[in-house]
Amino acid sequence: MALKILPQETVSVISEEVSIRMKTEVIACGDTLDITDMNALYPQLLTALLEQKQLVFDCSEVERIDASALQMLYAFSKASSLHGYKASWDNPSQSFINSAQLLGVATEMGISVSNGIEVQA
Amino acid sequence: MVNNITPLQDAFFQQSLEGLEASEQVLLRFDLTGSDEEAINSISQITHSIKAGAEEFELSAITDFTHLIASLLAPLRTGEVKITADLKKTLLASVDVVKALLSAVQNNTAVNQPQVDAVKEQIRVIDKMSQKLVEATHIEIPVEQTLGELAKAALTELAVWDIKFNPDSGIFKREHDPVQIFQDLSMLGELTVVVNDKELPLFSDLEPDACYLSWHLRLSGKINEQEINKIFGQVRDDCELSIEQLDSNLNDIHDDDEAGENVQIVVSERVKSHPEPDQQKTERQHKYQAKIDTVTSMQVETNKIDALMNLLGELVMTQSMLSQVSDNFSLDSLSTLTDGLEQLERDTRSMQGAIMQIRMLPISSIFSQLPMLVDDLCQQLGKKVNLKFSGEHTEIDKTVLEKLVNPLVHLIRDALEHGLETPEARRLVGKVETGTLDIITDTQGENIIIEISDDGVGIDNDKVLRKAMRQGLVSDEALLSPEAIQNLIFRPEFSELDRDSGFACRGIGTDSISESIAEMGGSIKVSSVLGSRTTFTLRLPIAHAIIDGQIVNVAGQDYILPLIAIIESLEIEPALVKRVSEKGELYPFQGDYVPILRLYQLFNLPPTTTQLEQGLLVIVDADGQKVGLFVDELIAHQQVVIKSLEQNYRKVAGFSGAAMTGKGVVALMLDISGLVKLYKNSSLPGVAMSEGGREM
Repeated sequence: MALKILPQETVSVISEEVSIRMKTEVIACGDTLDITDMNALYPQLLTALLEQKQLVFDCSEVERIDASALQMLYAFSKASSLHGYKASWDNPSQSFINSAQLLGVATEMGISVSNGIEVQA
Repeated sequence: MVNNITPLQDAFFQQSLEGLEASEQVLLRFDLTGSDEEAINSISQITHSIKAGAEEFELSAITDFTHLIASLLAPLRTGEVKITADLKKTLLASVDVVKALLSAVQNNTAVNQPQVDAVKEQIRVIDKMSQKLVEATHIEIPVEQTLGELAKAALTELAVWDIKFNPDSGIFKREHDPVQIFQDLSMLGELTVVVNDKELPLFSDLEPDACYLSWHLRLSGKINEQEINKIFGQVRDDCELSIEQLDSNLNDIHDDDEAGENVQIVVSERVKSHPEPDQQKTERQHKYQAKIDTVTSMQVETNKIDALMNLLGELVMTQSMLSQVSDNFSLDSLSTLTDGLEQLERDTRSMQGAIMQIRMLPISSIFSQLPMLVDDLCQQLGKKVNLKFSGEHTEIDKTVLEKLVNPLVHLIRDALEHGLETPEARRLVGKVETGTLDIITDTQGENIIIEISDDGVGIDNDKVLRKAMRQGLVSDEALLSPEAIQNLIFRPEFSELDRDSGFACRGIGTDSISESIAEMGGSIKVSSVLGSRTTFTLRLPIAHAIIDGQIVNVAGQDYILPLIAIIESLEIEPALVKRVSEKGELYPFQGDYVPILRLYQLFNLPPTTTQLEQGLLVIVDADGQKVGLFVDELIAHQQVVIKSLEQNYRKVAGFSGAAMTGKGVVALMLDISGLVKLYKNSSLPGVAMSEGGREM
């Protein structure tokens, strides 16, 4: 597992009197994301949610992701939407897309299906 | 493209658009849990009717597209496939496309081809899915086959399996992975996956290693049950599992009560080239506004036409009688002439009423689109709202109705964006997750009252007041009533996004809403209870073209004041007038002080009199602020037919239109809000706005 937080980018949304700084963090998902990573990932995501951080998940190297990890990302994606911003998936690998599709959560998560496949024998 | 629209083609466009509107309404009301054969047949008939018309007029793009829709509807009609959320969305998108295609032909403009292609692709994918399901349903087994042979056939022929997989929460801890299970299933045949996330808690309550999702699968191919059981073998004890082979009553995967708003179908994810959600919302909202703006014809109930014809008959008879009197006039016939003229007046009034009645449309004609708009916004904002209507059959003049759309949409957007909380936030403050947005319409005399009320965060008076003070809108010592504070939001200074007050309005802003309403001769007010409810109340004349006006005289000129804006007219006692440096003249009224606007000064006219006691003070309401207009005299109360200055001349600040008075002269209609703005921007002594309070 290679969960890694990369350097921050910061986007400022400044209204007349209130300045809200929406921080963007990139989380590198590594090549495998499974249940063994969830106890470490969960507080990170919860903190990001509370601090209104915009998270970008680098899914480019994912070779295997299990249902617990997808459920976590799915729940985070839904919670982010409730708070008015979207979690985004940077360059998702084919394995990542396939797994999300197999679990039926890809659409709701807004995962690009440009290389998506029909689940078929 | 059709360049010259013939009357026949025009009728086709009108009928098609009406049919599409009806289809849209049917689809929006469609209950996914049941089946509505009649509704499907109705949509199908409309589609075929448009298709036939398009063929007749050689409109190939419309013909082709409606053909696609018809093919999509066919299995629905036969009951082989049931309508699903995806199918409903696709059909609604198709309705939009057909409207766009019709509009492109009508206006000789280009259509948004990527949008059309995206929906076509969507239809093809769903159509293909439906066909596969239908094919799977129609496996024909010869009746003479024995049970053994049937079993053999089941082993070797195409089968469709319905699988419900509800793992217990500890399945992940036991290292079972549904992704792997579904991967294995997909190796057997074509797999459709629907996830059910109803048990998924809020993120803050999530246990990282617990499973909350369940799935409903449909697997088709040359598959036997044993193969499926083998794949689920290791998780058998850790889940609720049902595996059933489907037969002739094969339906869509959404057909059970597990289907919720979060269900998704894997194969439908190929439909990818749709506009982005935000773009869709914008298009939907624009379309909603355009829908009303583009109405060029209207349906009129025949009884209204009949009433008009009867009145016309009476008018002709009266005119005939008056002609006879005129031809043989003598002093003896004077009373007959007077009676005739009185009858003519009655007939004219009745005729006016009947014609105005023809222009009346039920307000539901714009409300009917609101559920779609609210639904879009809720999805966009992640909020849950129960939209309720009351009094939607109230009729209102077409012109007022058209002008009402923008303010209404903006008020609803505001309620959803800035009024109502997210389900999570509502739960935290002890409210039910689903908010309510009530739109109540009623009539009061010649006015229509529309209340838009949400049970959201409300308006924080302290914050609004602090901001108003910081911006110099009210003095630091001002003692304002809660109502006066809340109505400060209609001031232009509050029109921009203001997170501080928790109330904001995008786009045209609350001041523009107020301005639009004032232009219609109406008024808007807000009342709010912090943390509980905000209600906007719009008061509009039922008929915009003809309004009740008070004709007043200022410096020898007649002006018209909308009667709806007048609170009271009073004689001025000079001793009560207060003159405050830099604030002009103030006059006590109902416990407050109202500024006096000398209209002759504002219009730069030579005054008939400058002595306040020689004129009258007309107290009017200007967006929640009371203002006293100093006029020379009140002339008459009269119904006037308002003509737009903007359309016939140009927009003039302080005036909202012009009308012919009973004296046969043209008088300008005063726009109260505009007058106040004009006064504030003039070099005259400043207006001390009381805000309905006691700022002195």
